[in-house]
Amino acid sequence: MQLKRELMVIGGGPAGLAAAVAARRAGVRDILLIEREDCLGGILNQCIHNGFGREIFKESLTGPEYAQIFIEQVQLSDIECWTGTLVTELTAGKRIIAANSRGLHRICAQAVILSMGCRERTRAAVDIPGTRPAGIYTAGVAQNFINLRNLMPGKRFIILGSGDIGLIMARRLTLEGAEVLGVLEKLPYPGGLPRNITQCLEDFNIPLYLKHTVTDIHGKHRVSGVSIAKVGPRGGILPGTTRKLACDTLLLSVGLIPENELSKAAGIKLDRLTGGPLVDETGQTNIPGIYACGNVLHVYDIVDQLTKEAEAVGRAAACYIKAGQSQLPLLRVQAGSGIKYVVPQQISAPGKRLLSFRVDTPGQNKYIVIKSGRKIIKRQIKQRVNPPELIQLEVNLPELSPGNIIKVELK
Amino acid sequence: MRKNLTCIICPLSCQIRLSCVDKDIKRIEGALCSKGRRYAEKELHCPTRSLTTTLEVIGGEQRLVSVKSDQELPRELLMPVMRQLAKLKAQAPIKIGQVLAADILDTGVNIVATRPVSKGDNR
Ligand code: SF4
Repeated sequence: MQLKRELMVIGGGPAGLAAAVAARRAGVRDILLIEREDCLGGILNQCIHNGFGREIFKESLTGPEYAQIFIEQVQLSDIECWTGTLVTELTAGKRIIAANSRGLHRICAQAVILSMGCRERTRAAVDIPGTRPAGIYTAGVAQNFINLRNLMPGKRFIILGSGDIGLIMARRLTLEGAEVLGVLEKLPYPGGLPRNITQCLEDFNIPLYLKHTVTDIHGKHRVSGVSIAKVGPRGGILPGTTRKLACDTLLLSVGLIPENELSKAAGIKLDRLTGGPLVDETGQTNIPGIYACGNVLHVYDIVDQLTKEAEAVGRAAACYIKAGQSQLPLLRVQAGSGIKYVVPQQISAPGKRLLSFRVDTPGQNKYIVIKSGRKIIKRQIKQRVNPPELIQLEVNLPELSPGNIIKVELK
Repeated sequence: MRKNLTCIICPLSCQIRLSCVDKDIKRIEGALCSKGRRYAEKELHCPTRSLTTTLEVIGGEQRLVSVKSDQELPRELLMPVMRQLAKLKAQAPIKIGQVLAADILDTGVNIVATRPVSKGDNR
């Protein structure tokens, strides 16, 4: 039997919740939200620290509190939710196969919103030589164990990678009575926000080793220690700087990548810079009627921004369902020198458009230059630019000359 | 005396440069808003932090309930409060915002739930 829905939202984290509620408010009656875990809220449930919601709610909420606001909105809008349900297949024809304790379900929809979030990179773990004993975790898995399952993964920790999750875990582990010997960062600057260096590391006297990495893992059954060394200017290990530290657990916090296995199988084109789908300003992918929002698109650093943009994607999907069609992309948007990536990668209609992008290295007093073809359409000075901070600028595109390329550069 | 601080109030993380005499700020630079100054003053006199952690749950659908301090605590009390909380358990059902430990260590600060937990068997 095949079920039919107007809109299917895959993933019940902050992006999926916000998009579903916005689509309902824009008049979509028949929505199905599918979530893999048993509760809605996604990764926010394990992000028990605060700092969420400053932009939207003007206060500092914890992750679970932020999630709860949107879970309640979903419940009040009477949106059908299937939790504990895994989508195993998505096709370009907007059909899915979903599995849960009641069996396999085939569902087709007029529009689909992808909001599967992101996963943690594990590449660094693969690249480190040495044995493979127990005691190596990604920071997010350790966060899940400690904050949701009441399991402590170790006693003496080394954290590789200084992204925000790694920093927040350094504090969390210390509060729970574990010892964090240090956070190692290969680059000359930390990957996380400066406020987290202060409140997660400095507050607890946890050392941050910049330009350092793990070169070897020791231990037979359980990690007994790691070797660390300084990294030279070209990224190689500096000879003579290696030393051994005794620890029982290594945490990896080496970045997040959008989770797009389903999207790939459906034939959705991905951007190799973001790891997420190529989208236009409405969040539409190359398949009309399939939209993407949240961390599946690119990894955000502030959930408020993610929520606002996911709501816009929910409204765009509602328009598509009403009209039965959408506009096709006319322009490409590209990351120029000094820029890591830009979203959206395409523009379909004229008007004021918000571009979100990251720089590739920290800098001071830099110009952001946005060009349309050869013409400069926006120039803005930034006192400080930092890769962990997403930059958002609005550009006015009163008319679009098809084939033109919009380019964002750092000067 | 000169001092550099990172404001932790919002993600902009302003780098604040202070010149102070004893603990009085004479000059402040680098804060993008007025909260930065208030933060710097507190940081000099008595640094405070909010605490977020978890409490073990009895008879709930989840094993743990996430909690927070409803006001900031003096920074040096974070670890003592954690040790105190390790002794406590919370009985489900729990409502979001429910006080689970009142006036912790006589600070006047309450520890409140940041998520609901319904009754269950701690799967
Ligand atoms: S000074 Fe204001 S803008 Fe700067 S980090 Fe603090 S709160 Fe944010």
